Amino acid sequence: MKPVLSLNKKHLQNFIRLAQARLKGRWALIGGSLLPLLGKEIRATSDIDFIGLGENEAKQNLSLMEIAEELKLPIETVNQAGALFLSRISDYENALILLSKTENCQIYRPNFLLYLKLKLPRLTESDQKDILAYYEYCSEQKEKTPHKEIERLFAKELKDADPARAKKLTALLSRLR
Amino acid sequence: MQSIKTLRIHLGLSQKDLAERARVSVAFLRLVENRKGNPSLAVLDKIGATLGMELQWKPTPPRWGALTHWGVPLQQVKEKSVQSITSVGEFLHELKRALLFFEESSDPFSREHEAVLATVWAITSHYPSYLKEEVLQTHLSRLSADYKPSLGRMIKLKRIALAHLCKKL
Repeated sequence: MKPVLSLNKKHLQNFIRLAQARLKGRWALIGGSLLPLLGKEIRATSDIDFIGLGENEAKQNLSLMEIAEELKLPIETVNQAGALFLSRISDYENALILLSKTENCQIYRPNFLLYLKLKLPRLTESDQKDILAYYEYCSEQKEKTPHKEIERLFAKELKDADPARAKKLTALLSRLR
Repeated sequence: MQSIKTLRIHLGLSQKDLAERARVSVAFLRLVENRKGNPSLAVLDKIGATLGMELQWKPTPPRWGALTHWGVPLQQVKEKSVQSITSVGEFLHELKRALLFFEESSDPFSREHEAVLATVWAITSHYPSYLKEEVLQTHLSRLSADYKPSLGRMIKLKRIALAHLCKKL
């Protein structure tokens, strides 16, 4: 099926290039659009989850919209809703990995555990695919996989999960072991 | 069947006249007009043809209220009694029925149509195993072509739909 709108590696590279040139401060790219940027084009995605990590960053919304427009993308493509979920994770600052850097702007990606924490609450079919693809990427990069913490996280999630969600979680965990 | 009676009177026909022309009994026609008979489609077609009408299948409106409960991003629809949707299969069936409804719609760019298309888009993107049918490809192709100017709004609607859907699917 031809996707309605699908962001590819080139879109994402151009987005990061313009973001570095126009934005100031610390930013994080999370979500499904991180994968095509890292060379894992596993599915169509139409959202760039790009989050400002400080108060000054939040004031640069207009610049973000201009970047999307310049790339001929709908301005709604860039989405900051993930900021709320990120802010609820207490130790997220320690889980960020530098993706690219200029004098004024640093862009980060989450480590695998943080990515998992952001994806697990929703856990759609595409989230499951994304988690596995990101796990593969992080393994290829020889990043340490915190297996014990992953097990703990799943155990906590499984505690309150209904049978359908528990089934999804168990299947996913077995793929990560 | 009130329309048969209304049209017959409008055309100046008595029940006897119409019964004769349609080759049914007066008693049977009376029952049909009073919604008491159980006419076959063939008989209804015959009576209709006599009155200059033809039978048509027309989709009934989807259960908007119930679809909204499942995540179709519409404002709460006030319905007298919302017949709820109790399973994923029923929801997907109703969603496909909504797409069919728009095939006949005079306003292809209605708010409801946008909401249904955005929901289908959310499901095909995030739950691809639920909707695989070829018919949906046509609808989504239409989304990318006809809705290009409002693609930004569709992205927003898709997000809203997904936020609800992930609690149900």
